[in-house]
Amino acid sequence: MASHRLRTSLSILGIIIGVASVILVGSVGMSGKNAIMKELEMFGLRSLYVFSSYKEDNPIKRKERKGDPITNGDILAIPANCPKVTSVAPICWDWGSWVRHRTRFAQVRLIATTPAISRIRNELPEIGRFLTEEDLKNNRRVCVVGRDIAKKLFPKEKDPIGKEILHIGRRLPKKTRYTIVGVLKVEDTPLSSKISGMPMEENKMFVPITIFQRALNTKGVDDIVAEAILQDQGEEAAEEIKGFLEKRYKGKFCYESETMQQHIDVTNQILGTVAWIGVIAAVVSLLVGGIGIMNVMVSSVAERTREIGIRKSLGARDKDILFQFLTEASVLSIIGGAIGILIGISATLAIETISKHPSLLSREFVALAIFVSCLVGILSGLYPAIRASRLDPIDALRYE
Amino acid sequence: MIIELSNISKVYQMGGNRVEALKDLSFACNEGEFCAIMGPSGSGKSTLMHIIGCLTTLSSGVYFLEGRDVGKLSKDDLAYTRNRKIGFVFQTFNLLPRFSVLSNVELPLLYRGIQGKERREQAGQMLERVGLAFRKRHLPSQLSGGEQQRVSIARALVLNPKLILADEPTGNLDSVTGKEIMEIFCKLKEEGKTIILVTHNQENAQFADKILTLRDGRIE
Ligand SMILES: Nc1ncnc2c1ncn2[C@@H]1O[C@H](COP(=O)(O)OP(=O)(O)O)[C@@H](O)[C@H]1O
Ligand SMILES: [Mg+2]
Repeated sequence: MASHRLRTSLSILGIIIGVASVILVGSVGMSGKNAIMKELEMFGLRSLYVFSSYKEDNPIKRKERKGDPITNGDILAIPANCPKVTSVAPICWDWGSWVRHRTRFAQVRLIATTPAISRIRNELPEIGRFLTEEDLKNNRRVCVVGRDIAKKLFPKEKDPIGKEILHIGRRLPKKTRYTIVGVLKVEDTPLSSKISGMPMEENKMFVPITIFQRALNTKGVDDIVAEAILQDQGEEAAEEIKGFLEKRYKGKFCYESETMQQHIDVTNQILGTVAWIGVIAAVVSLLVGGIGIMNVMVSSVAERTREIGIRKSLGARDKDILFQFLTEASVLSIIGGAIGILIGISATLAIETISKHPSLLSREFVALAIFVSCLVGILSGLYPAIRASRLDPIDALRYE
Repeated sequence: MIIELSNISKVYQMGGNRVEALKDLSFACNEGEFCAIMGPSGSGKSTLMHIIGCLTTLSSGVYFLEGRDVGKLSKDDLAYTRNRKIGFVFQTFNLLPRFSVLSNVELPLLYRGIQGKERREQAGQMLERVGLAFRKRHLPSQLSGGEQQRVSIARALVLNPKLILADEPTGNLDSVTGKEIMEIFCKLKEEGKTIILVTHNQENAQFADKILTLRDGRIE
């Protein structure tokens, strides 16, 4: 009797673990994918980069490769020549430079660009405003900084708008004063940066590209940021820009591109693999639970052979006995399934709270778990139930 | 004739061992008759009762119950017959240990397809008749042997069957309690039931209209 109770609990435990892990793995795996897609969306799913690169097999000699591979003129010409591109912004970098306010310093990634990047890359100000065309036209020394920079330089002030900071460049030869006009919104997105291993960068600093180019006395541009018309046309839009530039410079320079599509594909692949491993583990544990229930039912039939005999002597038909044992198996698995569902849902909600990613819980996987636990219960109860129902009444009654 | 057995035999085959528990036995019983079966242990009394109670099959011969050939009934028909026509009382009571007294008496009603509330009412009335209404909620193990046998009689009678089969119903009871149980059977006979009773006790057998003595699977 006691051993029977132990076996029963163990097999219920198997079902509980199986169902809970189906829900958890399913929800986290599949909805985690959605969460990461949403995150990528913040960067603009349609956005893409084009930049120049050096290739060993470039047939044109190094000496002849003088001049800038991308210039302001190219940027202006792209919209008319690349139909799959909706908007485009030039970028010049000054990585690992510094800003100072009185005695406080902060490392920054200076991005000299045009206002168009705000829409393409979803760079929105939390307070203040982004760069404007007027800023560029009038060569205003204004900047939009990441929140980390604002915090480091102005730890006590809530609103650093209007403050002046000094930029100490690495590429830029002169120190330049900028007035802060905006602070960037911080997106709490630890999930993708954890997966990719790349920390979220909050030390960006946007300035008008005209200031930068004037300081270096150039019309050259480092990178092109552009936006494709449709989400899945990032690759094609990038090819259009590369083709246009290669033709324009008659193959003098080589170009490379990076699209969000590539990131999405890699993310999908990794998460898909993770989800599958989890689902397989969950199914195995459900099967183990099912075998456990079958074992419980087989020994329950043995232990209760006399009961079957008594019931038959009182007029129970084979199907009555079959139904009774099937019901018992189903009840076991429904109990296990219900507890498993509760645990699975609470674990998912707990992860949701910790990771701050809402609506992780997947209704489809809850439904799947309910379905599978019922199925396991009925299937595992079927064999012992059929055996029990076929017993001869007097054989069952005489069973010791 | 409610029961008519002609030239029946029953062979148990256990591995190499062949036991012929009943040999070419014929027996008949009229409706309303009280028939006692006696004989030493191992003479085939229980085997005969199981055959009459449709709990096992014949090796040869024919068995007519109320004019119907039992050998030709389907498994479901046999279950129906056990449920409606026969009330079986065992020496060892055969109550379900994990169910209350009331639930035990309800079982035949359950397999008859009677719904919960009515089932409880009918089972309760039956327990009242055997004087155990106050024990309804108890488990069988909380009852004395005599009380347990009364519960099993209540269970056998709850569907009001014509035929009562009792296989040494007093075998596990002391003589005083045994007498109380025998009184119930006598009352049932007065109500017109057909009763077949296996007993070792001459005193019990004296209530019977006829006595059948078995020895080595044959009528003596
Ligand atoms: N299921 C069975 N399998 C094998 N032998 C059995 C079985 N039931 C009864 N027997 C044998 O049949 C004979 C008659 O048994 P039974 O009908 O129980 O006698 P009684 O009830 O008169 O003591 C005995 O020898 C017994 O061992
Ligand atoms: Mg016997």
